[in-house]
Amino acid sequence: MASPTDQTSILTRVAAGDSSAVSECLDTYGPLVWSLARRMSFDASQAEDSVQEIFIEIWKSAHRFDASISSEATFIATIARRRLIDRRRSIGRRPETEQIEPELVSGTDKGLETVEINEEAALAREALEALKPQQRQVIEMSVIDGLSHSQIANTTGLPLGTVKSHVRRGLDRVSKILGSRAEADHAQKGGSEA
Amino acid sequence: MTHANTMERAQDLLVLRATEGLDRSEEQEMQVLLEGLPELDTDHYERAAALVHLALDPPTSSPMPASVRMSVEAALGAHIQTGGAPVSAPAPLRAVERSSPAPGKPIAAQDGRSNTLPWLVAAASLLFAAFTFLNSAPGKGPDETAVALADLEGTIELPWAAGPSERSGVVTGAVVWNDDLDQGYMEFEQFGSLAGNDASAEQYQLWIFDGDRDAARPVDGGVFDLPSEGEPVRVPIDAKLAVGKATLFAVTVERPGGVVVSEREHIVALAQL
Repeated sequence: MASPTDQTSILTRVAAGDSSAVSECLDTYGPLVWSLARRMSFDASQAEDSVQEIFIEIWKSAHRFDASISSEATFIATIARRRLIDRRRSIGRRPETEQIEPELVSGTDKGLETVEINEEAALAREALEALKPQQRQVIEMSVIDGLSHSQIANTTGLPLGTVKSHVRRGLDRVSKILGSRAEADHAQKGGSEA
Repeated sequence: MTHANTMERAQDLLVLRATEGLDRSEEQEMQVLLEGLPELDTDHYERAAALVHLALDPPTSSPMPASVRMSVEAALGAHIQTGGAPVSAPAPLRAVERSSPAPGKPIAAQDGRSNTLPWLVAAASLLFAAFTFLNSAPGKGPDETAVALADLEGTIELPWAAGPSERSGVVTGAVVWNDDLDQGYMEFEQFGSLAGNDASAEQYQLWIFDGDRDAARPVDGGVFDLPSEGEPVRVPIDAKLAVGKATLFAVTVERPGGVVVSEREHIVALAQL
């Protein structure tokens, strides 16, 4: 559950059943979810369906949000990615976002300016920049481009085991910046250090 | 397999889930492994992957199109008003007046998930207006929105039938479900042998069989209890995964809190398309 200091957070209100949080949640996190859906979906219809599913899932899962583990944005992005990966998996191919973005971006709003990323993401970026170029490339191909580990191995010529190791260690490294409480919690729970 | 090996394999699968997703067999394997690893933070890698995504590919500032936002607002409105948040206690069923087709016949034929947006946009105005009204009108509650859900195109109503378990008996009522919204609820009118389960010993769990998924892996529809009195009740469905095309709903008796994979030892109610 959210910490006592986080009583006014949007997800805390959602978890409490506050229906007035709908507009605020869509205002605040709509662009984030929409952006992820657009980039990880095959076409406009898939993106639109996914957005709806993701927000329903956010409502169902809001009670699990813990401000001591991650920010709201990371929590929501986690839910969104899971839904989008499941959908992508069920269809069996990777998105071709360049085909759908022009149809979906409104005429007056170029819409492709990125928002200022939160502090967590900024720290994660620093952590990623500290990785070896090859490791970072593998992480990007896996998380951002949505390539399977096998596809990455074929593309880069790296052994499959090395690809898996790069991805796992990279994610472990990034997770450490989620804060000392998360780190302590992670260690207590047995951790994931390979 | 040693505990260390089990942990290693589980973490490999969690990384895979966080990056490219799991197929059915991998998902099943992971769930089995996780049952023996209650100490593991199962969201660890997915959170990290989300953070990597935010760091390397920051979201754009463009809002979602108005039509999409409207459909999301409508879906959330229906979800909230039908009590879609996870609950264990069913809401009392009060004076529900829903158009009732012949038992066993769907209200509207399912035609897949294509062309969902046009009807959603059309329905969004109605639903969002109803949502807004219900929020501001004392005395209006979940029942009215349940009626709205039941009347939506794509919503199906499937009558309950007794399950094969010896613990089953007369079960009447229906499942009301909409694949496009991934929402619905169960109504139980008569459920004599199922009434008054001891939630500390066992609970009921709904399973949704999806025509788009392996029948061996139905979607968890949530855990619930039934009151001791035979008063009709309505129980929101809490589908843990998206359902493409629901074909069968089954209620099993499970340990408190439910299970990841049911042994299907006691199937006490069924509703089939």
